[in-house]
Amino acid sequence: MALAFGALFAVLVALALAAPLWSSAVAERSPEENNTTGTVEADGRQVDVVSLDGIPIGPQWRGEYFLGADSNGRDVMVRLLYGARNSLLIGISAALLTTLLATAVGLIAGWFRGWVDAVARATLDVIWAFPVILLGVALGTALALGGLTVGPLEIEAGSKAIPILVIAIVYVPYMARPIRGEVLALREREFVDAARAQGAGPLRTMATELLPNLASTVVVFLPLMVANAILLESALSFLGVGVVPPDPSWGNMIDAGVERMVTAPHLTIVPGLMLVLTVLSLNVFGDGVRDALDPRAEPATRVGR
Amino acid sequence: MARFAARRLAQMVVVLLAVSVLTFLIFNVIPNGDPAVRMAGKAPTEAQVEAIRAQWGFDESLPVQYVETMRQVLGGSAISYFTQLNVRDEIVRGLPRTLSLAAGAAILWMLAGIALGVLGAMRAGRTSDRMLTVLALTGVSLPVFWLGALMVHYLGFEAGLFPNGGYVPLTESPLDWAYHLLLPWTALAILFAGFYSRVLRSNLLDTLGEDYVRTARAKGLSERQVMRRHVLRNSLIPIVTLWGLDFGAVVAGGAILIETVFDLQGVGQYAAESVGQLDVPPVLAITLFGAFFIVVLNAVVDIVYAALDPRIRAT
Repeated sequence: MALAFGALFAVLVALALAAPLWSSAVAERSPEENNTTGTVEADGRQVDVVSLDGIPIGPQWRGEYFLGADSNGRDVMVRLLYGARNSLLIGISAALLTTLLATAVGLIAGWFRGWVDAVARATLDVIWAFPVILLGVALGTALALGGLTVGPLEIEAGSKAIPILVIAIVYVPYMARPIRGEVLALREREFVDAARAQGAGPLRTMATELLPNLASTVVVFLPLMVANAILLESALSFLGVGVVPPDPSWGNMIDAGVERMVTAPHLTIVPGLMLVLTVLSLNVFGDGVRDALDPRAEPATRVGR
Repeated sequence: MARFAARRLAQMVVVLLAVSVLTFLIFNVIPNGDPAVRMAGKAPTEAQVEAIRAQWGFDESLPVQYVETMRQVLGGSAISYFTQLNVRDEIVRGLPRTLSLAAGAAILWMLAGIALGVLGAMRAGRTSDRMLTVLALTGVSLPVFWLGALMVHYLGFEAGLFPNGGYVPLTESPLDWAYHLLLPWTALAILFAGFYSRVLRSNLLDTLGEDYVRTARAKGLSERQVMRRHVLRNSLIPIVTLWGLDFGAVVAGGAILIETVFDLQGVGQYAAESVGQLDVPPVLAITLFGAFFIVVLNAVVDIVYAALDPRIRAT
């Protein structure tokens, strides 16, 4: 079952990758191309893409406007696929960044213990104390306004690096804590003593002895991290602090769609279904991976609150 | 034990202090904008901006501003930059709504989680267990704002079965109160029940392997009695812990999305609106209030655990 859902996720990724192909070859529209005055052939006659009272056309189930248009006359299918690129790009990058940060923090805190550990734990506790969405929204809003400049690194306002960074930071404690615990247990094992007796320094011991043993924990966490990151991205975009329109993301498509629920429900339903399919496929796949690698572990389907 | 509790409480105060400083910094250092300019409205004169700056104390140094803001937030005299309303009054106004939402939803998701978890554990490995797993994971995978929007539209607007958002105080009419909250309760419960059923199922399966369960079966108890008297009771502890923490998190701002979708105007929606306007005093107050909830509940859980299990105190 897990494999089937893993395959589903692979198909979704392939669809996202094929977005430009669909855009240029099938729909012949770009994701941000407005078309409020154009017409499209339906039932053998020309129909307005957006009617005079502002109601966009519904799904056509072929070529152009496969899933209908939005209120600006943009092709929903094209936007959906480009939105998939954004959601997946942000979700996967954020999850990888979280993994990187959490592994580094967990390794250093668990290995050196003492005051290093105390500082690391206190930092994690502070992030942990924030309600996830509140911290995400606060950071997102603050960064969206003016961007961020840290030394040579410059992030523009509206850049996708902002949601990636926000999501990555918010989730670090949920992953760093278990990794730290594992490092604390691993460092007492004989093979670590053996490596030290052979003269390996801390860096070398971490890289060659500890890291490989953390791999299964990280692998179990990764699909679930990506699932949660995609969900948080959609929530941030829905609240207007994630991906900035007109650049599409499933979250901001739903945000725009909710206002038109009465006349054009497809604007809300379609991106939501994609979101559920993607997150569900990752969750079932991750659940299977966990069962295979670590059957006694707690089900960690949900990270964060 | 007393020393452990004292240390845990001291830790709590430090964390809260750090949370307040961090929140203050997020809004005062990261956005390169000037709050006085934002507040002055369209095309202000330099003199107007200066006047606002002096009036609100934006011309002071950051540490002074922080101390002053915190004094107002804790003293209950903080005022929103934009609506000019007292922040404490607004939170007090929204709190019953948020608490009603969280309490009802928490009861629902606990009951649903227990039912689904027990069912899954008793049928472990069979097809029905697999179906339950997918069902639970679907609940976890639903974006709450999307689910809420669909519910409001199809069950509220189209079918007319439920009111279109809004809130009626419990003291006014308990029936209307529940009627207005039923949809948001359900939406939130669907989200959490899946996770609870997964955790409970795995705890139940662990407990089912214990020796005392074998003994209970050997003395002739039915599978039902074994489950209820011996297995379920012992497996519920972690769930109850989780329950406390999640309840706190929902009250503490986790309800931002659901309150916005259902227009409940609780603390979460107040937070969402204030954050959007970079309105520092309410955001600081709500974040602190939320962090306080989470940190206190975490500490209580730790202390209770330490009281029950002396081995934990050492770490």
